Amino acid sequence: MTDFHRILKTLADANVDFIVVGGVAAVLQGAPIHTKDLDILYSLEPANQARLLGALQELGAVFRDDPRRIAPNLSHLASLGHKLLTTSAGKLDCLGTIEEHTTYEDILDHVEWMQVDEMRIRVISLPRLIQVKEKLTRPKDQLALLQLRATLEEREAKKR
Amino acid sequence: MHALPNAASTEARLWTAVLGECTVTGLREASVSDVDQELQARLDAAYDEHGVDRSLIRACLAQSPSERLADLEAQLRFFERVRRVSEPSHDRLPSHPEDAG
Repeated sequence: MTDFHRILKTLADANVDFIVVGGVAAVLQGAPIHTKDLDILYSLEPANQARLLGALQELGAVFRDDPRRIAPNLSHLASLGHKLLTTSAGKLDCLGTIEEHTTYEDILDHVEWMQVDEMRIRVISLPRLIQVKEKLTRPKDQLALLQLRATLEEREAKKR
Repeated sequence: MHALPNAASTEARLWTAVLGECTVTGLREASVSDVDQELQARLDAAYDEHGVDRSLIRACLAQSPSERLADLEAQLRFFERVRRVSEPSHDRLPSHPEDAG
């Protein structure tokens, strides 16, 4: 059963340094889109990798679409690639980098702190999320891009 | 004996609920084409040139981030329930070991 709230709380309680990116970030920013997984960009600092591993173990994370039910380990988390996981609370993608080689630290200047119930979490800013999506060519990203640009316009109009 | 509701006033109340602050006056006398025009105008105003429903965006922006996340989760749970109901029982494999219990 999908429970993004529980995934975020587990990560926050474990003091994992992460930024919500992707579809859930778009939803949190107010875009009316649908997504089935939670994407996070995490700090590749070794201590953070260890904290993330602990959180993933608590969530029972295993690699998605792999019948062997392999759990991620520190070597996986040290890699820059996308770790596509399924957990007891839903699908979670752990990203070491986004775009070409953009890291957690690179995005830190482009985040908004958001209050989600009792948690304060970092979410990629809407303009930066649009930049990320502009580099993607999949049809679903192009569709999302229209929604994201319109959401940014509506937000700007609301401020005026 | 209960009196039957006044059909005209019931319909007017329904239309008022649908249209909100309707600019069409005298709903009982408004023709179907007047109402159709009003609804079409609202539909046209909601969508931008790219086919994006701006009214949905404004509704989302009126919510808090917590409410937006809760809405998304509720949608996903609904689809998961529908999928389980529609799948033959022998196809219902758990997506995660904990779902098996």
